[in-house]
Amino acid sequence: MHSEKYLLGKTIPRFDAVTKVTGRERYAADYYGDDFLWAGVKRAGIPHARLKGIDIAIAKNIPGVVAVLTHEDVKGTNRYGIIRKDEPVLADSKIHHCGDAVALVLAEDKEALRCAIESITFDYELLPGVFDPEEALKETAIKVHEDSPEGNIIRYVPVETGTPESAFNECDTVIEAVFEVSRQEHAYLETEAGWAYFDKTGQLVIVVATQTPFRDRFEIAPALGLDMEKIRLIVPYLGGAFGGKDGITLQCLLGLAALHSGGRPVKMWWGREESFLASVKRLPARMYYRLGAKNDGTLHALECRLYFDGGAYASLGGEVMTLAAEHAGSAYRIPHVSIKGWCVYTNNPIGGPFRGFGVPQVTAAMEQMVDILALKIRMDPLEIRRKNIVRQGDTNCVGVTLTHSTGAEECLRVLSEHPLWRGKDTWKKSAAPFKTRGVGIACMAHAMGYPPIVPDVANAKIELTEEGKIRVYAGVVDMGQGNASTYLQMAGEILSQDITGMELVLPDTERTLPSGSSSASRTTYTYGNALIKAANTLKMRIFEKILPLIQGSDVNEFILAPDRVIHPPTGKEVSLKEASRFFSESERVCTDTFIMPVVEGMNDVIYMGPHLIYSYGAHLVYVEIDRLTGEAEVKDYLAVTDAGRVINPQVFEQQIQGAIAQGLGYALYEDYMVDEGVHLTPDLATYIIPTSMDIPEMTSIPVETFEESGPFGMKGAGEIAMSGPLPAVANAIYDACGIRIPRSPFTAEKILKALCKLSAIIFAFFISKG
Amino acid sequence: MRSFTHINAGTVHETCALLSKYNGKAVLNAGGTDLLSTLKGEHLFDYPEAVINTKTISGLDYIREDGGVLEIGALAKLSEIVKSPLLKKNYMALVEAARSVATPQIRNAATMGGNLCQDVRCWYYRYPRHIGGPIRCLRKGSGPCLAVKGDNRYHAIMGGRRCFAVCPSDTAVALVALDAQITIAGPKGERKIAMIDFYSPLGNALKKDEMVTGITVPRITGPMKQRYLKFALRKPVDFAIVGVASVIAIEEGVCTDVRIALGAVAPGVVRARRAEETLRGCYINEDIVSQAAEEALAGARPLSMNAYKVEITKTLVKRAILI
Repeated sequence: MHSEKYLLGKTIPRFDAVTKVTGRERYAADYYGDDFLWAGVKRAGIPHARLKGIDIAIAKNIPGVVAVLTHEDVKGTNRYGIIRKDEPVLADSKIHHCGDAVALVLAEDKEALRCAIESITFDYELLPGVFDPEEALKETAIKVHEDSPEGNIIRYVPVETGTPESAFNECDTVIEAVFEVSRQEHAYLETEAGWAYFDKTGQLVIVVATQTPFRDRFEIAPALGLDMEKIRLIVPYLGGAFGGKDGITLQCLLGLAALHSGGRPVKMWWGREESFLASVKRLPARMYYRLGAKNDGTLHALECRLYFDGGAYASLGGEVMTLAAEHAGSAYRIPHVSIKGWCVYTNNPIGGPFRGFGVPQVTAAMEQMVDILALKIRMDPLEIRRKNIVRQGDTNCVGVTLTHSTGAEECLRVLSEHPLWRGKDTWKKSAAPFKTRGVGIACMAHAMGYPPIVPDVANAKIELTEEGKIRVYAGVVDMGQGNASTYLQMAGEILSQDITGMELVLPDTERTLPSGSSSASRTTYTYGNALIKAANTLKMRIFEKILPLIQGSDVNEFILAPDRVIHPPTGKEVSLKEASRFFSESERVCTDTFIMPVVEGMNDVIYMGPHLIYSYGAHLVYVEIDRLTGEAEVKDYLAVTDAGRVINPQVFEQQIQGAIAQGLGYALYEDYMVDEGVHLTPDLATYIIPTSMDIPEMTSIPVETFEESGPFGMKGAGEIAMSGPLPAVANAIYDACGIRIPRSPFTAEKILKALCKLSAIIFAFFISKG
Repeated sequence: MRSFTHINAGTVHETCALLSKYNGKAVLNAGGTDLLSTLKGEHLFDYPEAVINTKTISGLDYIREDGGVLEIGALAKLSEIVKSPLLKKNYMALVEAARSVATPQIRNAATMGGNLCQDVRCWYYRYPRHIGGPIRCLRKGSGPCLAVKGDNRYHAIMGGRRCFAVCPSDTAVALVALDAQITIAGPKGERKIAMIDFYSPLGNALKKDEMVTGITVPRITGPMKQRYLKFALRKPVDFAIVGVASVIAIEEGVCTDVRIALGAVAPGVVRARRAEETLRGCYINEDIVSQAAEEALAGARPLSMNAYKVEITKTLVKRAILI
């Protein structure tokens, strides 16, 4: 047999690296063709109104305009939505937020398109809006969707374990605090883009940047009144998505455009401002926390109320908030827990999936609570975490026994032995004048995969081509995280092939098999497990096919090598191309299925049921504060991660580093501001995200537990590191100068105000002491 | 972006003639780094009929010293200003200010004249057309300033009247501290005005048919310590929340000459004259600098959300002098 690890655990260049850096890779926006039409949208620009009429007369007569469509041209339900069908393709009775699409224009060129969109006007009766989630819950609040059975509540989720009511009385110390986190925009490099046409068979083909090609068909078909079987989605590599393309962005609009294009292909490509305006955001949240502990630091009771601003449409906001509720206690054992979460409609931008899926919000709160508690009971922040951190076999906050790999404690141990932890006091003391330094830590957990009520399934497909190449059909989108390349690495490991010699088919509802969304830290785990099974089947099939040729006696005598099969007993070799000749068409392809294991019989604990397998992390950050300007600068960063075994260290590190950068943006700068419907940060000049110059040295250490159920022992690594930076920075700021800012991001402005207030209090204190 | 006539100008004279011809319906394009976002965002009610390309005017990209007077052409690239050995020797405040602008790529396109003439960043003023804008305000002809009651965290803390947008140029602040003059050409010839007089609450001193051709900085006598300090939300690629430039001569610890300019705090650049007077002739220590910083901000009248800018400006003034 071949060596144990052919490609596994090795940094090999990503399959997509060369085509991407040389500009040869075609993204959705790169699709052009003969005789195509541009499609574009008239946006509402007002947050809440009753729509009374749309005037498209002028637009229709503009030379170059082919069609101007309104809701009246939508033949289906004109509604889509993953859980609730509450979002219109084109607004009909009401406008619910500024980004609503009111009319769709098809034109020969962008100039005609622009003129037409500009000329469209609509009659409306402006309605008062609701912009705060707690306000929206009041009886008297304006209703965003009048037909919603529970008013403005998108989802209410209660979780209770133990006896939280009485447990607080058993605590020696109880602390309370409120935290608010901002609305975060994904700001992916590739704005939403797509290309659509009807092929000769009457099938609607949409080439689009989406994380969910198979699920999208279920949404497009009823909304537009089409047959789902007659919709094909093709998904090239995405230029980033981070959850923002989890579901419908422009797919329905593109389909509608193709229905009215007179048989011509249509292209739609949102600009940055349109992307910011219309796309989903990380849900801003207000979180009320109460945490009780024994004198020795043992966490005993947790109570929290979570208010998530879901914006104008449900999207996956309720599910985001549910995952938040499930993670509200971070990575700790707490026997008595009461969590209540509300995801609420407002007239703000739509809340939806964003790397972390609710977990960064609650981790921001809980990890600050742990530090506040540690200070109160005079315990070291690391020690209190070590004391309470979940270990394998423990029961987590929602009552699930952690039977799978649980490396949280190991993460903390590695952190505690790292020079950055050991050298922190020396570093803090050597601050320059007017600077003050602090070190903060945070732990985090992130569940992998879908909750039990949605089976997390992937169907892998692998083929030995006529040319003797191994071709992997990836049914899960690669949005930039490198999962497609990792699939090749996994198949290459089993079949002893170099990935450069392999072929890859990106998601295509006609060619690849349904494998779920590119989300939930699941892509490599679920699809990888299915692929391993399929690749092993193919391997055995290859051996079986050439067994008579070699006149060997046992299939186990063969080994595979790049492009060939070797039979060591005889020294004979057969090229894969040669071997391929013995395959019939149907035999070339091997498929297999994997379903992620779930917690059994606990679906009543929380909406959709709780998760079984988690990744973990422990982060440490060095922060320096300028006492006179309030500016916080991150100087060094350490992320220790348990995401099981690492398949490709470089791809893994890219995920951790990317999440840290996005997390530091969330901690320090990013706040998508909307003032009663007016988007104050509608572009990249006002919505500030970190650049490479703002990111410190980042050290990533994987602890590499072995996840028995994982492909080659791995677990999801895409989201876990997103939750650490905000609380770690918050704790470092407190460590540096004794202030806690209740609402992130921690801009200089807020820190300076808090510092001035603090010095006023200290001043007053000294005055009062005489 | 809408369509417009694009004209390559050959000379300054031709440019002014074109500006006259279009009578306010033409705009000048040098590096285009600000203009293009304006044209794309369509936040103004009037859209230009013509864009006049000034890059085709030869000989306006000079950086030279003539008899001790520094001259920089309007088309000199910010990246050339950053690199210039001449400027690094005697005009470090300007070099630091130019280096603080945007990214290397943008500095390769952006020009001296463009940086001085760029439009304000007020988020109400710049609210894009396709997302519910443009927003009417006095700067566009008529209407109230939304920043007064709205979110004004980045707006003026002094000198604002009817419009509270701040001057976003970094180089203008350094040039005011260097006591520069700006050369303006029109159909009837050239005129020079002090850099500090260039900005007005609702725009600048350019008439419809005028353009900036360059700046001049008077002779620097003796060693001068120069600084440009910029405070922004993000370190690189961001507009100043506050910018402070200082040019100071210190002999035996005593300040013999000083100019301090404050940027992004008012519609134009502000000279901190009272602070300068306090420092002039005094031994420089922390106390006197703190006093000067207080005086520099004595006229500040922050809006509802931007009082923190006062504190940051004071700190920057102190640092510009002390460090």
